[in-house]
Amino acid sequence: MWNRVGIIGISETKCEEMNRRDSTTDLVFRITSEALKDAGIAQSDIDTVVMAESDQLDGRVIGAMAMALPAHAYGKDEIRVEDDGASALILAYMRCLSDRFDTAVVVGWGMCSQTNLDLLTGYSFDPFFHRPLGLNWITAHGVQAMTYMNKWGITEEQAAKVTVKNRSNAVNNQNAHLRKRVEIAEVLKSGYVSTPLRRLNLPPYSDGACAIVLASEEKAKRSGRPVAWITGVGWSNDTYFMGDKDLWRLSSLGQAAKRAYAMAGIHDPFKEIDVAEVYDVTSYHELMEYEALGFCREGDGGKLIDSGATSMDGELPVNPSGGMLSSNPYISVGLFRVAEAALQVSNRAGNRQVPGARTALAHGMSGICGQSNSVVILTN
Amino acid sequence: MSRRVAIVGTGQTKYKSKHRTYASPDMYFEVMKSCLEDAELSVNDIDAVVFGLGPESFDGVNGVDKWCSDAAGALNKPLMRINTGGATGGSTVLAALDHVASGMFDVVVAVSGQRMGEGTGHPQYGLGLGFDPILVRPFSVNSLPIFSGDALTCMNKFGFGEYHMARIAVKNHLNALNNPYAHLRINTTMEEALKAKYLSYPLRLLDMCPSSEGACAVIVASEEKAKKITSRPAWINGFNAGTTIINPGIGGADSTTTWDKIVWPAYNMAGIDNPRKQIQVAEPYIPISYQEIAAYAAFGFCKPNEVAKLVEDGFGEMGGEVPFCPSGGCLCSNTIGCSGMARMAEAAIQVMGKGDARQVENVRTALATAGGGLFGTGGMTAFFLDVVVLGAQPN
Repeated sequence: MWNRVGIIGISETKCEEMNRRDSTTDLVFRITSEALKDAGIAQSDIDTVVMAESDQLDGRVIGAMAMALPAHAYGKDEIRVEDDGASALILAYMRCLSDRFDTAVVVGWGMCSQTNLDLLTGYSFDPFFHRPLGLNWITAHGVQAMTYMNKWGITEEQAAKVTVKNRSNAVNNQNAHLRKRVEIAEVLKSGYVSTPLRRLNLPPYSDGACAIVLASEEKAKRSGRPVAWITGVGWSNDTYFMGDKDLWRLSSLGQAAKRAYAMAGIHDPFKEIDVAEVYDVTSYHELMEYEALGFCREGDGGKLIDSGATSMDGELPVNPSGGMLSSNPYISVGLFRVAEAALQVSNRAGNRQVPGARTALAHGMSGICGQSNSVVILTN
Repeated sequence: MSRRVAIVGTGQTKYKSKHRTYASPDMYFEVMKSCLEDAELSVNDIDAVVFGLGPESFDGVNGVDKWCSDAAGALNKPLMRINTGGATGGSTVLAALDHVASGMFDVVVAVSGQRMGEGTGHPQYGLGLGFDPILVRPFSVNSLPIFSGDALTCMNKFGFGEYHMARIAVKNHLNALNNPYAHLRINTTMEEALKAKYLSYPLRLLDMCPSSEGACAVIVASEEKAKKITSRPAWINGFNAGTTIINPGIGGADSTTTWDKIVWPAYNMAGIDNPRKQIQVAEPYIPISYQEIAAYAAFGFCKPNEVAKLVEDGFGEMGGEVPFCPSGGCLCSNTIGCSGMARMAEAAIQVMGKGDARQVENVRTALATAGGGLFGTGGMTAFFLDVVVLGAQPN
């Protein structure tokens, strides 16, 4: 039914606390060049460039204007999604589906060292109702995690297991920011940032960039590169006001997954998906995401992590890259998830490869409390 | 393109310096309501929403798209946010077109807007933040001196003067009198325009766009749905977007130097080989009077040395050969996030015959553009342009 579009080139920078070598311009140029090299194509082969970037995070208005050229967009169709990187990938996918473009480059970057993310996310709240409460991404997610715990009796130990799992996966990922194993006791001893979120339930602040090259079926096959085919995409948006929704449930993620599964012909995600890369903005959110993605029944997220099914040797490894809890180049986080999923299904994930991974899921999120979510399904 | 796509409805708020009576969600609710009414659709008929918004430093809230998503009809629907600066509105329409042309959706709303009066700084301060922080920002430049230098280049190159710029300014201001949404509605004369104070030589007050607040929405639909929704859709027959570098002043380059490279692929797609004969009305993104004069040549309506004569002959006036900016254009209402979309909405209005007092007769094909980016990355200038060619008949 759908034309096939596949990922033929991937490049990621190492995520780190502060990138002191590159200006944003240099970083974007370098990462895009490397993705083109990985895909074995030249700038002249590109049809469209989609950027994912936040003006606020870059401290520069209309950043697309300055970054279009380093992103190799000279003389090309170009657009910028000011949203999570997974959203940009989906737009590039639609552009290839419409027959007008054959080759698309998606570039996303996040330089958390250049800004104060806590302050910045505080300004995502409307000036009338939320902002006077002093909320930001951490405090709002703390409220959400608390409602989730209370609703289903999720324990701090269960959430700590997510951190332990993802941080130990990151040891095998040379591009991850935090590559030090942690123990459950250590997580439970780390101080509260916003109850129930402890320091180790939260991601670091990282600098990083990621670029992905998409190609239509014919071009992808001709490239001779291992191809990760996109078989399903879905995205959806929930209400903004925190009080207007069931915070313990990521309903727009459920809708996004449903759309992506329908497109990819997936009926039993837990069985049919071999590896998943989710947007673990806190360790509690990864558990909520298990439920919304249909890996387990609603309320059973804690039991799923207890069972070990989502660890590297489990039935459905989640976040083999170490996830967001290990590297957080905000805005490009979703694109990193897609990149890892693509590496996994093309058998290029090195010593963190999930053996025989055929179908992978990648998840991107934007907005506060999981308001907007995107899901991408890839297969080899 | 795999599927034909058409614009089936448009909505706009009035553009003004500051909407004091409502908060942002109210503004987007109003524009969505009028857009849905125009297409006679309900919010349940919308499959997905694409939200265009320029720099948030103007709005004072990050992610206004998320805040206003309920008001924009995006609850439980796919929502995507676009920002390409001045071209945002145009890029948002093109992204909505991608949603439909890909075959994934049938009816998609593109909505965009900006609250220019909500941030703490002057909009020009906000725009100044677009410059390279190391090489250019210390000079405290903003868009005015950049455009005045560009205007001088164009004047020298194309051989027109302040008289010609005033003719365009007066024409567009008088056109705006017929547009109920326009921000500046000044009944002016040539004498006034030529006596208006200089903002930055050679640009006078009436040559320059205002800073406006407002919102615009456009509904795009697949061929099958478009035919059901309206008897007169505006078919998107040609479109293109492009990024180029201009090195201002070097080799005589000006901001319009590369427009022809971007506009012609859209013409070719729409089957246009003689724009002057085949296009009946144009609504390009012209925030400053001199750009319209240069655009006559850049968009292929005449040779570069003929632009002054065209202005003198009233080529782009209402009742002229090819009316330009019947809405009063960007010169009379410039809302960063949605100016580009308002141009495409106006072109659709003209094709659909809904222009009332500003309707151009017998419009079969209309041209609209959205443009952005005239700030240097260290001397260089990146410029991007979105182009759509709308037709009363699909091609």
